[in-house]
Amino acid sequence: MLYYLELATGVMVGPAITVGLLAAFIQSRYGKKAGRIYTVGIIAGIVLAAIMSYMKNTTAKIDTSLWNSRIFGVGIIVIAVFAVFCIAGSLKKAPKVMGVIAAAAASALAALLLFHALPDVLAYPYAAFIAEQSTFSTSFLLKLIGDVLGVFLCILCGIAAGRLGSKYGTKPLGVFTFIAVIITAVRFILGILHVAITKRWMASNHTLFTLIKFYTNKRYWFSYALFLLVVVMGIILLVRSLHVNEPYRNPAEHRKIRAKWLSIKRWSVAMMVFCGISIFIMTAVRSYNNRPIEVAPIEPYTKEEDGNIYVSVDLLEDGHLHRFAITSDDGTEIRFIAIKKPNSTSYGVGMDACEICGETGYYEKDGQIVCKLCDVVMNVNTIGYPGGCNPLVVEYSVENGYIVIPVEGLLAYEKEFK
Amino acid sequence: MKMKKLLASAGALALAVSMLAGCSSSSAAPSSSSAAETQATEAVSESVKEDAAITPGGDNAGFTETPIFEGLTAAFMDVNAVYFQPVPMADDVNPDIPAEGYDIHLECDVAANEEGAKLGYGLGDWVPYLTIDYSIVNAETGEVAAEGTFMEMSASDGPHYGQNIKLPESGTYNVTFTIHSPGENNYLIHTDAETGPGGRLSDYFGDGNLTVTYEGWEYTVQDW
Repeated sequence: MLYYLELATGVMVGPAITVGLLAAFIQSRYGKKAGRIYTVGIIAGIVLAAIMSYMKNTTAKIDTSLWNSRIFGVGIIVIAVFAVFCIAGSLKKAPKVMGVIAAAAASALAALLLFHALPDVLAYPYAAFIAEQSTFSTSFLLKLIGDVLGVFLCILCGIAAGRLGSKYGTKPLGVFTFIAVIITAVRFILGILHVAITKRWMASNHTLFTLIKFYTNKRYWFSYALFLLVVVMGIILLVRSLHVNEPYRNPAEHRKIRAKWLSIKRWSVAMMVFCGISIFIMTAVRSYNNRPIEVAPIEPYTKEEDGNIYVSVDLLEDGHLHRFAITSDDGTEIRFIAIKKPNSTSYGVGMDACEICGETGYYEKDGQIVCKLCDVVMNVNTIGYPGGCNPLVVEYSVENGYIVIPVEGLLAYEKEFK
Repeated sequence: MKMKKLLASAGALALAVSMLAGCSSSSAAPSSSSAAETQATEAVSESVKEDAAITPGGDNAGFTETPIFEGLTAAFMDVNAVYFQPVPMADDVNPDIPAEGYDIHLECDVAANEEGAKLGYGLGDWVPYLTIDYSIVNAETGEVAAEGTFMEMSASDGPHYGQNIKLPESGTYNVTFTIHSPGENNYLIHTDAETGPGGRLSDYFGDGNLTVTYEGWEYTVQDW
């Protein structure tokens, strides 16, 4: 769940804030009709993203890097058009059509931002489904919830950014929006360079590689810059709310002013809270998701009798991976694993080693058994069968509540553990 | 005014739709070539060239191989390395090994060269039954970023040794492949004068495994 929560938040939150700020600016600067043009862009972006997501997951015709370069390329042109017509439109006697063009450019920019960010977010449930092979598994549902929560948080960030922006006058809001658009433009330019170098459309050099390395390793910094922007917007409004001195003519007007500033305070705090949660997800949760692998310790088996190792099935009732070991005469530790198969009364028993990766062993992650060396995820139901990266097979039987494994069978794999 | 609004809306939509429908192909020009250093416990020659990303199967735009190195020689084998998006895989016992959580699919292509005839391989034949370990070390920090053993598999462009791996940080890496003798996987060579190709595996693996190293792979994380 946390993995998908981080993915969805990391991908979507920056575009969501930019789209929210642009919405507030377009509405404030050009009015409701321009706002409708902008809405068309948002809808177009969502529809195109859905189509792209479907194409990416069902055909081999989508080269994501190539599409990104197209999106970034068109995006830079759109940003330039938006900037030019916005500035030109603010001049005296500027024809109204300039505002319409600026609104259309902003609308296209919103479409492009969503078109770029949303396909992956929409596809995560599909990827989770492929991994789980069932829409009814708890693991799939948790992953789906993680993705949905991430999207929900990003929508909240976008709405809060828009509402916060709407509390400002057109000019200061314009400044904030332009900063967000410039951050987006920088990201687009670096994104194009990234694709151009990866696809060898242009020769790389040390400076370019360093730049692209920075861009790819610090992608969240663009979102952090946007967080900083909207948090500053919130702080300014909060400080102003402490010194409200607007004149009023009657109690009704006074109540109206107080309600307005209460709303401003609430949206400012909400924006900060949403940013705080997002930053927590993009840092602490990310760090947790990438934590080092914890291997289950070797446990004592139940008993050894008549040349057999006995492991009580009660030990395996928890459905988790259990690791045991015997020591050969020359001191070699020979490890084996056992697990109760999900939704089954049978057990998976094998060596803590495989034919391909040797004695590297297995660990449990999110209910799955993974080879520590090659990261291949095992199907728990196939443990006990030979092949691939599956644990080396060891003979065993289930008798009177015990897994019974002949010591000889374990010793046969001694050389794997030397 | 209505007309302007309509025009603007149509313009924004047309721009976005044109991106989906209009952009059909891209030009990819080979641009750079760089030297590579190789270290090998056996005969390994230096012969590296970098080409533009390769798209196997023509229309399959989603499957573009990005070269890491090409044409390194390890005894009777030419070794190439490419990477592309992590892919789901399957074998008889694991019906769906997911690509979830990985950053790239690292692929090692091993083809017999002229020397391979001494072991019965045709020129360019894929060499099966190898165990190949990979090690990717951050050239700046010396930390091992990824290591493991390839698995044998087939893609639309044929069989290869490959593995989905996690490599989440862009950087400069040194890549080492350690190639074990196919004899370890019970591969045999005829030794009689009538049907044998003339060589033995021990001619090449007698002193141990073969190692191919490519230093200075400039890797950047990609959006797949």
